Amino acid sequence: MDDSTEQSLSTPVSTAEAVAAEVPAEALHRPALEIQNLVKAFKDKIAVDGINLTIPRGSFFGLVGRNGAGKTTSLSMATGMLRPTAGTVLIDGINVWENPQSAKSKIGVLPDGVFLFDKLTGEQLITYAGLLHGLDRATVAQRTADLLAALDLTEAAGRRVRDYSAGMTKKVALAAAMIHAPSLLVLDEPFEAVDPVSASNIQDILRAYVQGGGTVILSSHVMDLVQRLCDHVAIMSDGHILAAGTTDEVRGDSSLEDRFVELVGGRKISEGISWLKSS
Amino acid sequence: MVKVLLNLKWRYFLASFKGNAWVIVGTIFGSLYLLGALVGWGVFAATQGAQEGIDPQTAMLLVGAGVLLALLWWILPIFASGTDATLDPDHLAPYPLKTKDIQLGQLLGGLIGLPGLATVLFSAVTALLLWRHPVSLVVYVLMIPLGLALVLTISRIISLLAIEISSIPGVKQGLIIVGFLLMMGAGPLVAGLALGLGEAWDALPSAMKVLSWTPLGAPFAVASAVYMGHWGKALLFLVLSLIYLALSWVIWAKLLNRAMSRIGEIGGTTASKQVEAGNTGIFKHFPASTRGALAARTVHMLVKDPRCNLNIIMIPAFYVLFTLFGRVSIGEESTGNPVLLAMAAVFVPALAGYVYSYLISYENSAFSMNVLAPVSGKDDRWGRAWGLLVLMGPLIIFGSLFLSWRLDNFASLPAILGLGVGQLLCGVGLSAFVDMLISVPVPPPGGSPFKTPKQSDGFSKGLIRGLIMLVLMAFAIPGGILWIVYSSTSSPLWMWLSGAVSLLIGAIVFFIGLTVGAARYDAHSAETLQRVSQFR
Repeated sequence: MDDSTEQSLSTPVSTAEAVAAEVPAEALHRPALEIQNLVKAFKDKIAVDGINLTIPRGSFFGLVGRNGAGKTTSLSMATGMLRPTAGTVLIDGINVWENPQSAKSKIGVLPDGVFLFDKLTGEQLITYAGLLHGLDRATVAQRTADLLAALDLTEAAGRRVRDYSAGMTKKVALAAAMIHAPSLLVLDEPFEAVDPVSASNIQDILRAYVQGGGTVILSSHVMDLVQRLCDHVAIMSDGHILAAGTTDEVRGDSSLEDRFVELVGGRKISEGISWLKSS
Repeated sequence: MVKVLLNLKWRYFLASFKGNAWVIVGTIFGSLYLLGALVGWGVFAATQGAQEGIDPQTAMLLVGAGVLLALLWWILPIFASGTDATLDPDHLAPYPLKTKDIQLGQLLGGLIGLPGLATVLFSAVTALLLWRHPVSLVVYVLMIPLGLALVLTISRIISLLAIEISSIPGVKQGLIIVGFLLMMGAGPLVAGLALGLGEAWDALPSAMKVLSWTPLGAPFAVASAVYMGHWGKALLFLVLSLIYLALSWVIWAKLLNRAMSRIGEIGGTTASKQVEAGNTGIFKHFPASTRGALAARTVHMLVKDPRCNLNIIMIPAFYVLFTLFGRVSIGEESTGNPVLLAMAAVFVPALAGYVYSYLISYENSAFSMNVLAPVSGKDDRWGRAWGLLVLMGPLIIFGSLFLSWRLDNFASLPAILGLGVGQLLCGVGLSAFVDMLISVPVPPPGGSPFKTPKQSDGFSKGLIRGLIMLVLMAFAIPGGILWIVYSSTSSPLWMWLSGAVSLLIGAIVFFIGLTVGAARYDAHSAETLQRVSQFR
């Protein structure tokens, strides 16, 4: 491990190299992720009602929707965390629920609203993620150092994740999701609670990752950000996909936000609340 | 405003029942238990009160009942700070409330709920001690509100102080461990007291006489003094109680104001410990493999997480307690009580292995990292077993050595050691399968180790857990029988056989449990993740 640490010091790697995806040549023509007729029914409600979605290889895909639209549920089913009631999920042509081990080795996931092993230091957490994916010690040490540097976490590497700020926690979780160089990144609300500078850094990293052949799908309810960042987008509401395609196709002549409100509805035109006006 | 606060507390109390039948069932059982205790105390009090003339013991019991209440209300918040946070300063600070309103709200709010009701009823039932002495009775009843006010006020002061003290790093964990050991030691302590009960009983009246002058007993000593006919003393106790109440009320207000102005500071992150970059700590000491990583993290969690390390401390504590118990129950003899020591040989290692079934529950939704990675069931089950055994193995071996030394000076060491290691392996093996079917509820990360999340199916789970312990005990039967054969024949062959059979059973259960559990993990890790994520 000492060798690799030295190596990382002597030859600093660029951000793009640190986060490069490993995409086998034969996979280039298959979609990164295919969701077919996916349904999730809970006891009292249907959270996801038969959605179909294809995430093209090399795309930067945004999944947008209001709170409770079914985004997290869909992504949890797509990544093997929540068993679907019905439907199929193919990652690089592999059925996640029939062949989970080989499907899971191809994706990196940043779940939203879960605990982390926060008694570990940032560096330990990323190391643990790497070892879980079966990487050898030298590779794990090298990549951990690269990711910490790329995400501006080197200084906090030896601190417990529990003592991190919300933004730093997102970043270290992102690093843990990327250490095995997945060909598809699934990010649930990656920018929530992240400060603007860190958000810009993360965006740079994700762009570099997509340029290097990786595919990203992220969920968000910040329309401006999705419009700026994503080349594909799907709008979700009440467990249905209302529109999907390239960002330009979906938004047409208007902004993504206007198009979203138009499709999803629920806007209330109001005069404001009279007694709240101070003059 | 006080009414609003009380209403809030009341609604909160009611809401805890909504849509949850088991909470209602639990409350009913709790109430029945309390009712039984109250009726018992009431019958005793009425009988004691039926005596002719004046009995000093009645006077002592009056004070004693008050002291008992005060002790309960004052000691509990030290170990379980924030037991009832509905009206805690953290929640009320954003609103423009007067300190006095909050104090009154918390004071009266303390009587809402089961503990409050029990307190009121207990003090009411205690009045039966005086049913033949109307004057003292009236004085007693008049003093109840004053007494309860003092008890609750000081209880609040203590819980405010406890929150502050436990925000000092390390102290909280220390307190938790002390509390835990006290809880475990309660049995032998009581047994020890029972042995010296005669002396303790003799000392009680003079102790109560002293306590009458303190905030613990003063309000209840008023009626006691009237009963004894000491009117001057009664007046003195009354004045003293009022002074105590006024003083503690002022101190409470001061502390409350301070707490309100420092919300967020207490318990906030301070400069945290930092290791240098490149130091992956425990991961360096385990092989760089999926299994090694899981083992390393299991050890890390069990040692570093205050929720988990009680499970480790518990093992040596149990060994010591069981041997103490053995000694206490037969007094002077140094060999101890064989039955109890044998119980320790079977029960403690099984419990140590059973900790395995808590592991994923403790991880809560952080377990998602494992589910999202291509971890095979085999790697998961064996990695966790490895981590747990690294810690528990030596503890059980040393514990067995200790036990066998206390029992018969190492004469039956092979049987005890075989039973210990065998039961540990059985516990791990059975848990490795069962925790893929049901998950034991534990406090979420960062939560108090004593606060178990409410479970809608908690009752049935409790049954299953009891069943698991029974099955584990059953695995010890063959080795135990051979051990008994040895004790009656004194032929060492039987003893060695006992150890070997226990080990063999352990190995078989371990292997089958891990294998079946691994297959179940491969098919159902997602369901397990969803189960443990709900423990909030």
